[in-house]
Amino acid sequence: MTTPVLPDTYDVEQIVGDVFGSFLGGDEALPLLAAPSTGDPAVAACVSITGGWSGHVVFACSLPASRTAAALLLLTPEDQLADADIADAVGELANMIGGNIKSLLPGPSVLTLPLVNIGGATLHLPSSAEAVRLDLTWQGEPVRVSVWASTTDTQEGTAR
Amino acid sequence: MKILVTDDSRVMRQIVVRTLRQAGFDGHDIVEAADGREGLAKVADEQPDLVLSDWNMPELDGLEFLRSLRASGSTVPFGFVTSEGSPDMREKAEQAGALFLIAKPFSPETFAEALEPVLG
Repeated sequence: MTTPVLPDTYDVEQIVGDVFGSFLGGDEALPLLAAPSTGDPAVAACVSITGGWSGHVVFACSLPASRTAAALLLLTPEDQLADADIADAVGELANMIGGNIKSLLPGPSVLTLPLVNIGGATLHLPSSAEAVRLDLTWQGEPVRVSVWASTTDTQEGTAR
Repeated sequence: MKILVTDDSRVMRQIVVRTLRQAGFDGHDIVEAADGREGLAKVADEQPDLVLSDWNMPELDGLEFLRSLRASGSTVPFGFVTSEGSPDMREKAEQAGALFLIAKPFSPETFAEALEPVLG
């Protein structure tokens, strides 16, 4: 049996760049830049993949970044955003990034709906190991995308 | 013409509607649904000329939504707008009767190319 190859940092960066460039690349938006890792961001959205490959994709960012993203996606001033708007926006970013990462992985598999955590406790993903982490700066705020492989998956892949 | 936009994300419904406009398809009536079950009811009530639907939704997902429509005899033109564009999902979509699958993220040009044959 051949071991499936996981998307690497470059693949993830391309996907995140496409998503941000398509929907968050307005005139006022600054580009994504590579950045040193900071502490755990306050907002996290997670989608899980189950099937030919199993694991999780997490999109995380600071609260200000989540508000800016929601405002740009909804074309709504930040002071008029509800928490539900912010959860919807970061959940949809996780869904798009996770769905595109899923397309690079062995299938068939199923993608879950996003789970979103705003300003709460650190997200814990039991029986998983971080395989890819991409730390970025967007609008001067931290953004992190990570791929977590299930440690109980018999078809576990290897990061390339 | 009337277009039904079905997605559980209000953010994405707004982006789809905005992209329709940017692709030159303004002036059409837009109705919205938050999942496949609501979409089925809207198709019956509103008789849209085109359905654009997400795939991954609570209650009833996009594929089951399409299959239910076809099982009920509806031939309404149907296209997916989804974050998952793998060959496997494109094949499933086509087999169920979808006209196209637009992968997120998308551009107005992608919309124009996929929808031109339907909306003219």
